[in-house]
Amino acid sequence: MSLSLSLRTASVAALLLCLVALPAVAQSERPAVTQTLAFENATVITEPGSEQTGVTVVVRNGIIRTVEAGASIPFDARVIDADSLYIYAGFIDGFSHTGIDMPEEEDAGSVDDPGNPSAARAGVQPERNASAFFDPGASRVNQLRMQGVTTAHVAPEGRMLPGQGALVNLHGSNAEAALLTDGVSLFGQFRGARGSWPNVVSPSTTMGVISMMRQVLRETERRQQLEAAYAGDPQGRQRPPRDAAHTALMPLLDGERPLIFAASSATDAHRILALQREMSFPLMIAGLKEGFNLLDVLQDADVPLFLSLDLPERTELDENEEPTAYDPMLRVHDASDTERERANLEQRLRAEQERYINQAATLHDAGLSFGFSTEGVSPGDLHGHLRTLAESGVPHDVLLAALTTTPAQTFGVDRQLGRVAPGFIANLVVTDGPLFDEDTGIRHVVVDGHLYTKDEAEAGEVTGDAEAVTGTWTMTLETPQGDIDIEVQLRGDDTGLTGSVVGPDGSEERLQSISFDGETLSFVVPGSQMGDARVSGTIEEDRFDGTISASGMSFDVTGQRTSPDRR
Amino acid sequence: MRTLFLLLLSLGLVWTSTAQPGPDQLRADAPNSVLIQNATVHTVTNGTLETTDILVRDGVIASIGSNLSAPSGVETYDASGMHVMPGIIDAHSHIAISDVNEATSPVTAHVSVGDVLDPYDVRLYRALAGGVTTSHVMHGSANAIGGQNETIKHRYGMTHPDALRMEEAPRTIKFALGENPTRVHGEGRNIVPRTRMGVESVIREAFTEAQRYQAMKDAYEAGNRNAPPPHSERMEVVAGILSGDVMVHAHSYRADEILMLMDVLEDFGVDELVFQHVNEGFKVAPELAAFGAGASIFSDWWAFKFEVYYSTAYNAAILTRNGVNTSINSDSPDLNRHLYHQAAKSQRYGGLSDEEALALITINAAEHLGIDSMVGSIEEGKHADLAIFNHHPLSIYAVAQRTYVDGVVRFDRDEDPDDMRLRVDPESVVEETFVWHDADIRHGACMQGTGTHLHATESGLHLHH
Repeated sequence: MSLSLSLRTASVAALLLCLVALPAVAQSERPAVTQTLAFENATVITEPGSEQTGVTVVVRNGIIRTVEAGASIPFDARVIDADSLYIYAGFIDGFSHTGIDMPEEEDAGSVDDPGNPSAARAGVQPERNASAFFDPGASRVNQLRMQGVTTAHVAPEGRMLPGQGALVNLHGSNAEAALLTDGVSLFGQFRGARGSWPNVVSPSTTMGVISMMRQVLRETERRQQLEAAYAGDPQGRQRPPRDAAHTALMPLLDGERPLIFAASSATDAHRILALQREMSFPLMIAGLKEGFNLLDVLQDADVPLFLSLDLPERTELDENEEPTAYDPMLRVHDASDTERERANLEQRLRAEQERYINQAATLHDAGLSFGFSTEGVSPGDLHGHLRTLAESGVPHDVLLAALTTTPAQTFGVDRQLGRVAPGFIANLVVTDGPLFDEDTGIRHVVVDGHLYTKDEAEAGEVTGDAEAVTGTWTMTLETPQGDIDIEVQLRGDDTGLTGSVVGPDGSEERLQSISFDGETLSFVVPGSQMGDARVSGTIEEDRFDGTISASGMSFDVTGQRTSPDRR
Repeated sequence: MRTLFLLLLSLGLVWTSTAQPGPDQLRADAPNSVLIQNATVHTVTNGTLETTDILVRDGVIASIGSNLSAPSGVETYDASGMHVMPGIIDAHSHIAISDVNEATSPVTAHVSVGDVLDPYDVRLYRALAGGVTTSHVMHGSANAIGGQNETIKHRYGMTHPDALRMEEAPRTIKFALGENPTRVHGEGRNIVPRTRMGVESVIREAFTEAQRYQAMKDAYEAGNRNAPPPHSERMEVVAGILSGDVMVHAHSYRADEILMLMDVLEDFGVDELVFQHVNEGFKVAPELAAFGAGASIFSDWWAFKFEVYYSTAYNAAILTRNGVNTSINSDSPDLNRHLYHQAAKSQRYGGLSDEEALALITINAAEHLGIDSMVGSIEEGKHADLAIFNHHPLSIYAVAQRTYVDGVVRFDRDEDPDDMRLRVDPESVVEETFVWHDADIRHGACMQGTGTHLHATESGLHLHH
């Protein structure tokens, strides 16, 4: 990753972690005192549309045992007073690469015949299994879990056919412990083989990928026929040819394992649906963003959909501009009218953004059911986007179903997951208010009966003279890849400090937990992808000397106050 | 402001009714019947008819004559003083697709641009504004045997990729001779072909391999083998060339390689062949005519690489006069908007008649694509693909007024809104409009503002006021 690119996209904390790839530090697991939890007197949304108040939920050894008012609490239960809390089934991420850590790809150099590369080099690797690459300790697993995602359908990363998806719980000491179901799907995408000119190999284009799909599926079909003939009468026949890739595609043609295909645009969705009609196999579409453009086609196709939660940002209108509606029939006649045209194009852009934001509502109105994909979404944005969908007109029950019961049914685990009911796997989200309300926060998440409690954002504590630190600081992070300058602003007084950090790319983050005791200054830079970075050091005159640490790494930080601000 | 917007939004006062492209962009309810009245009709195959009506019913030309009456419910269009010609057919285009070249192998017959049609491409509409109703969307020229092409109708407004396909059109495939395949594969990666000899050898080997492949399949079908050969998408299509199911359209410039390909195809019994570009076609026009090969050429574009220096603007006329079925194509999302000007150049260079010149961009191109029984001329029973101009389409003053595809108005100069895009990237930004005049930059201000005073007409320039 180039430095300039990473600077543009990553927060300061994430940047540090991108620069030096260190193995994720295993979370220190303390043995739980008890495997029994009791949420007493809660409001429980047992499934979408069904709410009960004053209910006690008892969880034991990873399973929900009791969901009823006044249930007796086992002697060994850890009791959580939940009379102001709401309990929902844990969310199921319909498709992502969460926690997937792929090995370095082999050399992307030249091959003898770029038109006929090996299956692996072409990106045809359906024999690979997501569970082999899943790390429950990955920071994104942790971040999504703290947003209430307790189960994910994860797939290997790669090219056109990267491998098989697995359903995993976002908890466990290793992939095997987290695994619910292996071989849930075959993942596919319109992504050509690795390598750039002149080392580009086939398939290098979307049309090449489509053609290669036909090639491998038709050859798989042929091999199935040969195997059947051989099984019927092996005498005098050559043994059918075999390889892992074609064998792994047989369940797809048998209708036993679906292809989950990443298609965000309407054209990509049309293309994979056309191939499905041609070759006839079970299909799911993941990461869809333009479903509103092919409603009738989706209605006819009747395939499971996982809509992208990556919503576009609304372009802010000019403060002085009248909010007029888009006029689709506008015609301007000469250059003096360009301002009217520009304003109309601006409105068109806004209207288009609304179409993308309204995708879920539009599909729901058209009678289509769907789950969600978190791929490409910052975990911290998840609930904001869900609220946006609620505001766009998706009924709350439908949203909750898309997060719970719908994907549970799609993956055939609706007797274990998606509801708060006795006998179900104890995957729960515990909030302090109704789920899609603005001020609602998540208090606890339970996965496989394990309780995760959200840390209250540590309030910073100011016991020293705040004036010694307020103002603008230029700080230099001394990373192995070179120095990175950031600008830190601190404001406030002895009752508390607030602040922000501006990265070299101009991106700004609000600081958390700012503490100063007269000697030591510390604060947290919240990270988007890789977790939080903690900065701590000593203040002497206008100089700062300390360290920044995140996920087990730390670097030296020096700073200079460039403009004291005594407000 | 944002809060106000959200408030309006929550009340349903903004966008909700206009959240789709307007009805005129999608043409959702547009009729496909119309009576066009009192036009000068350039039929191309049956001469020019003055003051003539064309009745279109359900997308088909129902009758051509004078004083036709509109059946009830059918709108009329007064084309007095206007010229109607068949919708223009561009026999070489790369619009409305998301990929052009799968350049990874000297033979990529297995890929097809028809798999990656993009109905949202606004260039479909821009071509309509130049009277184009059909395009032969081609694979690129990186490979000796390239990918399959797709013949599309410019049904802009329909967003299902299949809606663009001209289902009745025969399958075609791209071949490429000369510098492009030798540069990409030979020079670029040191694999055959590096020379023109190599190109010939690649084609002959592919044909021979396809013969073997087909023979194994046939033997299996006949019960003489107990297994079909390993499936090959590539060989399936090459075998289709040999059986006549897939027509060859060969990118070519030089006379020697043109003769070479005719020899090769003759050896393998393939007789349907169209050469594309064919800049040296004038040197081998009799040979092309004898083979029955078509030539789809540029009007006057050359010298963009070494093999394209020996060229002439008389190519169209020489080929036509030698009995070669010839069309003029664009190979460009810009040139395709004024193919009627490109055709007119054949009158300046070679003196082709009006009808011959118009045929270059209509019926001749239709023959190249195997669709001449359906489109390419104004005849009863043919598809109602029509381009209406305010002047004779071979006049430099001609401006397209309306373009019909299957009887549906897909371009209307008087009625269409400015913004005809079907899709807008929600992450995009609206570019700043910039009036050069206001910037007081001399270069940009050239002629700015004079348009309201200075009018160019056929009789000269007039200064008003």
